[in-house]
Amino acid sequence: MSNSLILNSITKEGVDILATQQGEPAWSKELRTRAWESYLKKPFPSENDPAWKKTRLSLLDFSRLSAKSFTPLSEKQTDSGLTDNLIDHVAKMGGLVFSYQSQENSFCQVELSAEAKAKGVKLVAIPQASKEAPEILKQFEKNAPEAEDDKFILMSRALFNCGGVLSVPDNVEIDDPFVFITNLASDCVDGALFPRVIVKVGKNSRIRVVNHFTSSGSNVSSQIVFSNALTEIQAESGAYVSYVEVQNYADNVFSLNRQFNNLQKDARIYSLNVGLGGKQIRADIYTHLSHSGSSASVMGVALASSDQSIHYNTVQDHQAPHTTSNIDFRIALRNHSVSCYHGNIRIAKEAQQTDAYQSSKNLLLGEDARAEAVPNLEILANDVKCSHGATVGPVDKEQIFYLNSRGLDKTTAEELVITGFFNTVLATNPIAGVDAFIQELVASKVQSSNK
Amino acid sequence: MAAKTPAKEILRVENLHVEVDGKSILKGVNLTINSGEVHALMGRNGSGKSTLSYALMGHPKYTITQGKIIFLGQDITEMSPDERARLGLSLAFQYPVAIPGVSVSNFLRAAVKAKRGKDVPVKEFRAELKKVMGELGVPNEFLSRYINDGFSGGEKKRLEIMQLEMLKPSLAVLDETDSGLDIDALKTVSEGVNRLVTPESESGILLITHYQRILNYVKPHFVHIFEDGKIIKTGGSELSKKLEEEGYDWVPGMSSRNLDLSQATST
Repeated sequence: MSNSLILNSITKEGVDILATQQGEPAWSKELRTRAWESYLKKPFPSENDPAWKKTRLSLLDFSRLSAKSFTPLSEKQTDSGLTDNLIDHVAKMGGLVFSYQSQENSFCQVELSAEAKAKGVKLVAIPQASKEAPEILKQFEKNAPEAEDDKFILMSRALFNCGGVLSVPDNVEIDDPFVFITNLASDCVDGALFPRVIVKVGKNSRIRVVNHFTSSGSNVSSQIVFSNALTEIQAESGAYVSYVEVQNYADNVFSLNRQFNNLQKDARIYSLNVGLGGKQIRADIYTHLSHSGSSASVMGVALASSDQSIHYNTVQDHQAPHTTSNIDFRIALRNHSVSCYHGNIRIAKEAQQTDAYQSSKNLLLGEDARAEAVPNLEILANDVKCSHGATVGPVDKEQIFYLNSRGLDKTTAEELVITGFFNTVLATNPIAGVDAFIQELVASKVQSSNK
Repeated sequence: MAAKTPAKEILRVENLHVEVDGKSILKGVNLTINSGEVHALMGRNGSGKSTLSYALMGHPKYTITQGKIIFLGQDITEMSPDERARLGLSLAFQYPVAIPGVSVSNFLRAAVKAKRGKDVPVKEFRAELKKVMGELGVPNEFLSRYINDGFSGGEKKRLEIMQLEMLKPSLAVLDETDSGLDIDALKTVSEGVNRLVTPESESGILLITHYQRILNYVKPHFVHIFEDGKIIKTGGSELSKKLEEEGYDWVPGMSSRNLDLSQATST
């Protein structure tokens, strides 16, 4: 294994070194530099900004953190110390991009199934993307919605160092999921990780994607490390993408996830985001329904405990007529964890006959847990169906009594109710195997946080 | 009673007083149930019948201010509901709550495990379930549905009886299990109840109802009339027939109600 231990701090030099180490062509370096310059011009979000108030930015100390470059490995590196390995739950994969960073080294690997290869699918790890998938990278940079590029997204465009690019041609159907795993080992003390996943799905194609963020090892460093992930999904006309994201980082990780779903005519996305790990979870999911007939189901499940803080922000942006979106987010909080959910629905003047729904349910399990749900609707069209609902409250005592009356003790009864609370959303997950994997993770977190 | 095994005391309620939100509801209930016995508790709406069932099960909202509950020789007055259930007390709810996301099969497995104190092998559990479901005419898809979520009235009651049959409690309290059932469902549910208590069985039943009709299928050994938080009259099954024909007004100690609308509609 070649040594990849040269540190790149989060600076202009860091950006240059990263591009040089990965042997990127001039245009790629230039795109990074341009993003870096825009990054410098943007102010950091203020903690008083309502859109950022549950995101404890003060936990981050960029002078301490550094981004590494990832060495592509060709031989299979199976031992990455993962105890809950997603791969063991997926019978067959369409492909895999595995990125690993520990205090000692950082590497990535790519595999593609014979079926996917034969059908013309391209899967490239980020360190090689500027050489092997230049057109896609350029296109995604060009299409980036500048309005939504905040300080952290620009940081990620300048420093993305792991993850992968998946490109699926027109009229391809593959059942086996494409899996991205980002493993930020828990012994890391100064890591800053910039995973980027680009998924481009051609016309009328149907694929499944799993994006898993995790940490191996049980010795969790007390230093806060940073993961700033960017996921961009583009579904072309008539395409259907199922996307499942599972964030199960160690509890020293500040996890920032930005997801963009761009849907063309009659394209559909099913997206499920599961948030379990990390000290701070911040996720923004933008769904752009910019062409008629496009539709999106965006589901979310998060369970926080101890002093975790989670902040989800969803945007359902209807720009064209006959578009449909359905958002269902469920958050359960133990101990003194806190959460905030911002649900934004925008319906443009042209977007007649659209149907937008948003539901946010929050379960308070700890006496000091606090949840907030803030809907924000901006409807300019006059012939639409749009509704939203939010609930915040403790576990229903009658449900607990019912289970008690059947012999289940308080702890077991409560665990069953919490699991049930999530199950109604998790049951919609279409990716076989991943379903059981998530249920296990959730159950184990429900049980461990109950002690 | 033609009990082959000598009757054993299952439940003894002594001078039970219960308050809800500071309001006195039960005012000195005395009741003894032995194995193999079916007791029917009848009375008007608001007489405190359901309060008795909740207090027996240990609902935290119901405060026992006086008296005690002895179950299988143990004082359970201070016990938590789950401890009572594991000892063998069970309540079939009048309005069982829905628990979305928790499937009937997962729930039953957890309940059976809690009651028996050990995990039952999947195969054995399935076989047991299949038998009970067959008897109650419950389709397989019931198992994957969420507890009472979107269930019809009849389905809810079937699920309550299904649980009793799986858990085999020593005392089953049935709170208006007959209300809202059509005639076929009433028969099936009654048959389920009858399977719980046979002359040989170690179990007893307390059946709370407004109406005679379930008593055509489940024969009570004792009928108690409940009024204003206590039992004011006890008799045999003939008592329920008289109530059906003549109403409650003739019962000594019953407060007279000239226009009793509450009794006409089951709440």
